[in-house]
Parts: sequence; structure tokens; C-alpha cells
Amino acid sequence: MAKISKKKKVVATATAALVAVSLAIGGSVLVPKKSVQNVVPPIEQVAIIEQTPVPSATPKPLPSKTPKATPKPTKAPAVEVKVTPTPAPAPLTTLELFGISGKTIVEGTYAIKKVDRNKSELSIDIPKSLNADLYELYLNGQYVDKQLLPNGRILAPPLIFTVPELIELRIFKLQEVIAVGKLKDGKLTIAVKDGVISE
Amino acid sequence: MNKILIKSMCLALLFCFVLATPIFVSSSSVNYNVNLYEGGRIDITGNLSSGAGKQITLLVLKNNVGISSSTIVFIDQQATTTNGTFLFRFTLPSALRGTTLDFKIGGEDLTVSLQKTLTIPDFPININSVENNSVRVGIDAYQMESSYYIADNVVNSIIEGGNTIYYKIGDRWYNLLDTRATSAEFLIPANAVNPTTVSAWLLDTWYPRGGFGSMKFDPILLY
Repeated sequence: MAKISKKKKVVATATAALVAVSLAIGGSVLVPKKSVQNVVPPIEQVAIIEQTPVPSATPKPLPSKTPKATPKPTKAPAVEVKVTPTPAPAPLTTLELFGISGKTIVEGTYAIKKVDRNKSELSIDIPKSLNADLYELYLNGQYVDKQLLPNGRILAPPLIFTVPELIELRIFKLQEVIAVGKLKDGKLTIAVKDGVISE
Repeated sequence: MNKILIKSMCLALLFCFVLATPIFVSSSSVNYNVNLYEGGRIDITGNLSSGAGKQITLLVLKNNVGISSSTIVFIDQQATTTNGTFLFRFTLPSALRGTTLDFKIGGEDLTVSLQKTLTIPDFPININSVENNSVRVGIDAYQMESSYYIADNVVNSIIEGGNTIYYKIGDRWYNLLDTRATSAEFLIPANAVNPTTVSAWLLDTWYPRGGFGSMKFDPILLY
């Protein structure tokens, strides 16, 4: 029994060695192929980079229409072509900033009351369904003040309220912006974040 | 017998814990943040789980000392609003620079008060300390909510510091006596006073929002 097992061991080690050798050979054969495949794409990428300026440099009709302005196009292609493909990113609106789609709009009311020569106050009334607890006042995108809802009134110089359309209200629920309001024509138009009212 | 006794005692203890737990847990919970801004301005916002219309009290004390009139820095009470939300705002006196303070919140439906501890840095009192929605009149600065922002005080500020009125929003100052300042359209960043000019202002008294009446500006120019 012992002899048979020894034979089996020898056979097993031999086959293992064979497998290892074949794997090594196979591996060595495969590796160079992969490396060859990797070499190709960078060359293609370089080619693409070189090609990009060529199609964009197509202001050929211009010189023929304006023969007197021939010296200018020679300088233009190199500079102008680089500027045009990079469109300036549009600044985020407040709605985009807080992930408000603008699909849900509700209406509220506002009142501006003169307190004295130096002060006026803003009060707002918004639907209870918002469950809002705080609002912040912004003028021309600049933070002015904040107050609790529903009764908080913001005191400010009368000048602040002369153009209500420039005022924006950010409305909060549990420290999260849930809506943005704009004052217009005596009404408060509120864009509400999706899902807030149904909750 | 001993084993039975021990087992029964363990069970009894377990039941005690189960029954006692609701007694020790308050019927309402509160969470709040203490925010410190330039010039020692403090905002405390939070929510009480039991909702609106509950009285909530803020007590600010010097750290690790008993409650007495000399250790109470600030005390205020208000009713919670929608969602149990509350907001306390005040400005610390400059004498409290460098001290450690406890901010305790207690109130209706809360069986225990909660505490947060904050060490106040050595903050300067200058024009940058003044919060938005404030005016600089003559030699003084007033927050719009300050009870000191009345005609008599404004006249005195102008007499001492000249006829100047500036207004702060968006961390910028605007000259309200500028001939173009006829509507809110004037209040855009392009028309703001140069920050270097603002830093050169040498002012006397700051009347912040609520809490404490006034405090003197540091007599040092910023530039």
C-alpha cells in the first residue's frame, strides 16, 4: 500500500510540474500579445489629439468675403479655436443649488410694513402643508437675515424692500432648504422641493 | 435552592431595568447646535421632538461653577415653533474672551437638561464682528433688531461721527447716502464699499442683536 501511494505521489508531482511548465510557457506566450495590444491605443489617441485642431480650423469662407481683412485670419485660428470648444458653465440657480425641480409651485402672501423712518418689516404667510420652520431673506443673492416661521418678521431698512422682485426667500424645514420663494405682484410664489408636500 | 434564588433575583433585576427605563428617559428629546461667529456672536438652533408651542430655556454659564448671578452669562426662554424648532441669537460680551462656557437647554417635556461646552477664543471686536442686516451710523453700528436703534441714539451717533449711513448685507457694506442708492437695485456687490476702506473705519460702540446692550469696538485699525 505504501509503495502504491509513493507511486501516486510521484505521478502527481510530475503532472503538477507539467502543468506548471505549460502554464509558464502559455503565460509567456500570452503576455507579449497583451503588451502589443496595449501599445496600439496610445498611438491612436495621439492621432486624435493631432486631428482635433484641423476640423475646427475652418474659417476659410471669411477671407474670401473680406479680402481687406486678410492679415487678421492668420492670427485668429490658433487663438479663437481654443476658446470656442470650452463653453462657460452656466451659474447654478438657487433652485438647482438645492435640487428643486420647480415642478411644484405653491402660493403664499407677504406684507411689507413701515415701522418708522429707518425700518420696515417683512412678514410672510405660506401654506401649512410645507411644515416650514424658518426662512432666510436674500437680496440680489446676498444674505440679509433669517427668522422663525410662522410669525417671524424681518426688520430691515426701507430701501431693501423697494424692489420686491429682487428678494428671494429660502424656506427651511428641520435645517434643510425645502423651498425657494420669490416676491412678485404682491404674491409670494414658492417653488417646493419634490415630495415635500406629500410627506 | 441557591441557584433558584440567584436566577429569580436576576429575572427580577431584568424586569426592574425594563420597567425603570421609560421613567428615566424623558418624554421628549432635543437636539441643538451652538454656532460661534466673529465678534462672539452666537446662534443656537435646534428642535424639540414634542413639537410646537413648548417652552424651552437656554442657560449659558461659566464652565464647572455653580449657578449664581455672577456665573450666569445669558438666560432666555421662548416657545418652540413648527417642528419644535427654536432659535436663540445673542452676542457674548468681550469680557468672556478665552473662557469656557456651558450651554444648557431645558424645557417643557424634558426631564433632564442637555449641555454643550464651548471655549470662546480671544476674538476681536471690530467692524468685521458686526453681523449682516446692521447699519453703521456715524461712529456707531446697530443691528436692525437692537432696541437701541432709535432716533435719539442715531442722532447722537451722527453728531459724534458725522453724517454717514452704511448698511451691511452679504458681508459687504453699502453707502446708503450714495446718490445712486435710491432703490434696492443699488445693493449689488459692484457698488459695495471697498473692504480696505471698511477696515480703516474707527468706530466707537456696537449695538448687537438682543441679549447685551452694547460693547466698545477695539480701538485698533484693521489694516
